[in-house]
Parts: sequence; structure tokens; C-alpha cells
Amino acid sequence: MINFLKDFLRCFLNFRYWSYFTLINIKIKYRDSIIGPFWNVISSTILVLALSFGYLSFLNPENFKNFIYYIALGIFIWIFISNSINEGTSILEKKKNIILEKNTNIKFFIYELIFSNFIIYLHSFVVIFILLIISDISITSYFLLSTIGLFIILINLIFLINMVMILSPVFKDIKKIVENILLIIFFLTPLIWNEEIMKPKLKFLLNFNPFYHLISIFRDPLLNKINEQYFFHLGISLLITFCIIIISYVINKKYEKIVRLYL
Amino acid sequence: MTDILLQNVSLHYPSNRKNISLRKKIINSAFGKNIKDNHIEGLSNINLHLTEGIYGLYGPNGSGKTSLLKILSKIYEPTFGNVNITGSVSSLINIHFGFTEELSGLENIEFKLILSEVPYKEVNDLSKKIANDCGLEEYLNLPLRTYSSGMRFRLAFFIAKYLNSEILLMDEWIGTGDEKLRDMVDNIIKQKISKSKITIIASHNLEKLNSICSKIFYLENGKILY
Repeated sequence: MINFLKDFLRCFLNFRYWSYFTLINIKIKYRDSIIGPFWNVISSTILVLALSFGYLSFLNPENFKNFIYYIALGIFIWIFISNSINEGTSILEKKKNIILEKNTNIKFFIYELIFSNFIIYLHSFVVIFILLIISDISITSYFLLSTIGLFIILINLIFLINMVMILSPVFKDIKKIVENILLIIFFLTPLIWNEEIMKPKLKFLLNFNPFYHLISIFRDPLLNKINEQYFFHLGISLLITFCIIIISYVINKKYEKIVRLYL
Repeated sequence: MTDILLQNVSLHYPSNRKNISLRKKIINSAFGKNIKDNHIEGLSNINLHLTEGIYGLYGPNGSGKTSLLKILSKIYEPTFGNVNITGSVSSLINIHFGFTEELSGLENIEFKLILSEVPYKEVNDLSKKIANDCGLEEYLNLPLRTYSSGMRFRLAFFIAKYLNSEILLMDEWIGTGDEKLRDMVDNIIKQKISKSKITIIASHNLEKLNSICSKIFYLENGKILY
């Protein structure tokens, strides 16, 4: 277990190596594009605006300005998480020409993938900041707590991607299963809807959705919602992180050595 | 000391042939294919002890030459057995590995050097040396997708020229490149071999192997026959 974690740390510390490949990938992807990664932000912003105006027309929420900011926070972080996990299922296939020709630690690709999606996510901060200014929410020191949430999300992503990355070449159905699970979670997590609209009797069901806790520890501080519920989410998120690391370790131990033979 | 020791090494490629029919089993065994119920035997019970020298791997397609090179370069871990290697290994299994179509020749040089874990402080100088040496001049600023196969080979070859190690693994390198390049390629390969302590070359060209190697292993169906 210690060696497993050390291996991740060793790869992380070699950040010049994986960050170089991330930047090259982004450069290739957007080489002839005028606005580059901002295309992702534009498409996500259109989604946020479309959803918000839909809500405005049909549900007329009390505070629309705050609601649109709430939706943007959830949607942008969700797109970052789901894109990273989805791409994780095919990353080894994409990097086959390197993996089968050179003894490379496949964990580098996890950092490369997350960093690449994170850079795109960072572009969305422009939109989030504009919506924050428009909303009634004031910037407080609580905002800093969202970095803890983001850090925990990143840790979870690293080990989740490790799981799907290793399992996907061995079990060919994993890619489709992950895609569908993420789609279901998108609708079951309060991202495009507010948990307040749930029947009080059914609210407890949300606690069984790990992404609800993970997203809340990032989003709640940015909404100045620091209360008992926030600390509950934080505790559960740490527990989820621990479980994901253990599961990732077990999968890694069983399949990492043989995964190249399936490519 | 540079040393390679393989003890009872076997490599099984997974295959989804759990329910392989009896008819196919008979056909496979008749033609000597190594297809078992749920795996293909890439290598079977290999024992090798190599010290300094130049070695050749010879055998028909599918005999296990590349699988053995991939075990030696630690790309694959053996299904059974032990591998002990002392010394740095560089594998030239596929000369075009790591090439990216959308990057320019210059960018590809840098990309491949970093991929080959050349220290960052050396990448810049080495890139310039390779760019001067390969003779592609203004083409180096164009994307790789615009290159002919000869130009690609030239670029890949000159990058490989500057990557040195104690153990050098080469696959089907002899006689590659166009007519003009062939003599130069052979000379550079000889220089590279002289710089490495152990060289292992896999090839179909027995005549060339005989002229370069001190010992040649003949492989068939994943086994070293002699």
C-alpha cells in the first residue's frame, strides 16, 4: 500500500514530465482554433444559460441571480469530473503507441489527463466570476475552504481514474458502464436542481450519492454555506476518499502488471 | 556490471478464447500455434544469462523475438519466472514510436527526447544537434504529417542516434532506410553498438546477424531452440 501511494507521489513530483505532455496535447488540440479551450467554456456557459432560463420560465425561482451562479458552479465542476473519468477509460488505448514501445509508468497519464481537463476548467472561472459579481453572494474568507474541497476532489479523481484506466482494457464494457453511471449521477446529483426542492422525506437518499458530498464541499463555501451540513459532507468525503484509495489499490495490485498485454 | 538474467520466463497474452472449439484446437495444434484455452503463449520457459556482447534473436514471425525484447525492456512483466537486469536499457523496438503527426519536426525531436527521459537541461542542446545532423532543414518547421516515409525515418533515426544506454535492444533495424541512407544507418548502428555493453538485435536477416553478433538465439513458438 505504501509503495502504491509512493508511486503516485513519485509520478506527481515529476511534474515537468507530465505537464509538458499536457501542454503539448492542448497545443495540438487547439492549434488552429482562434479561441482554443474557451470553446469548452462557451458550450458549458450556453448549457448553464439555457437551463437557467428554462427554470426562470417554468419554476421562477426566488433568487434567479444566485440560482444561475449555483448552477454554473455545479455544472462546470461536474464537466471537469465527468470528462476526466470518461477520458480515463480510453487513455491507455490512446497512449498505446508509447506504452507498448517504452517502459513508462502509466500513472503519468492520470496526471496528464487531470491537468489537461483542469486547465480547461480554469477557463470557466471567468464565467463563474462574472456570475458571482452579478449574484447577491459576497466574497468572504469562506471561499478559501473551497480549495480544500477541490483538493479532495482531485485526490478522488486520481484514484478513480486509476481504477477505470486499468480496468477498461481488461473488461471492454467498463467504458460504456462508466459513461452511463456518470449520466445517471448527473441527474441524481443536485447540479441542475436544488436539493431544497426535494421532499424532506426523500432527502436522506442524497447521502448515498458520493458525488453529492464531493461537489458540496467545493460548492458550499463558494455559496457561503458553511454550517453543520458542510462539515458532514467533509467527513463523508474523506471517508469516500479512503474507500476509493483502497479499492484503487486492490485493482492496481491485481491488474496493473497485465494491463499492457490487453492493449 | 551489466548483466541480464532470465529464469523460466513465460509470457501469456490474454485471449478471449475461453470457449474455443475442438475443431480450432485441432487446427491450432496441427499448425503449431501457441493458442491455449484463454491465452496465447508469447514466450515459454526462457532461460538466458547474457553478459557483455552482441546477441542476435532470429526466428520466423510470431516466434517471440519482439515479446522477448519487450520483456527485456520492462514493457511487459513476465507471467511466470524472474527477470533480473543490471544496467540502463534503451529499446529501439519501433523507430517511429512517440511521433505526433500534428507537431513539427523540431517539436517532435523535443517531444521524443523528453519521452525518452533525457534530462531537461540537455534537451535544448541535443535538439539543436539532431536538427543540424538530420539534414531536414526547413522541413523541420512543418508538421510531421507532411513528411515522406524517408524523411520520417531520417528524423527518427537521428533522434535514436543520440539516445545511449548500457543495454541496447533493437528490433528489425538492419537493412532499414532507403538506399542512400543504408550505409550511413549501418555505420551509425555499429557506433551505437560499440557504445553499449550488451546489444540484442532481433532480425529476419540471418546473414547480417552473423556478421554482427557473437551469438545468435533461434526462437520458434516462444521457445529458444538453440
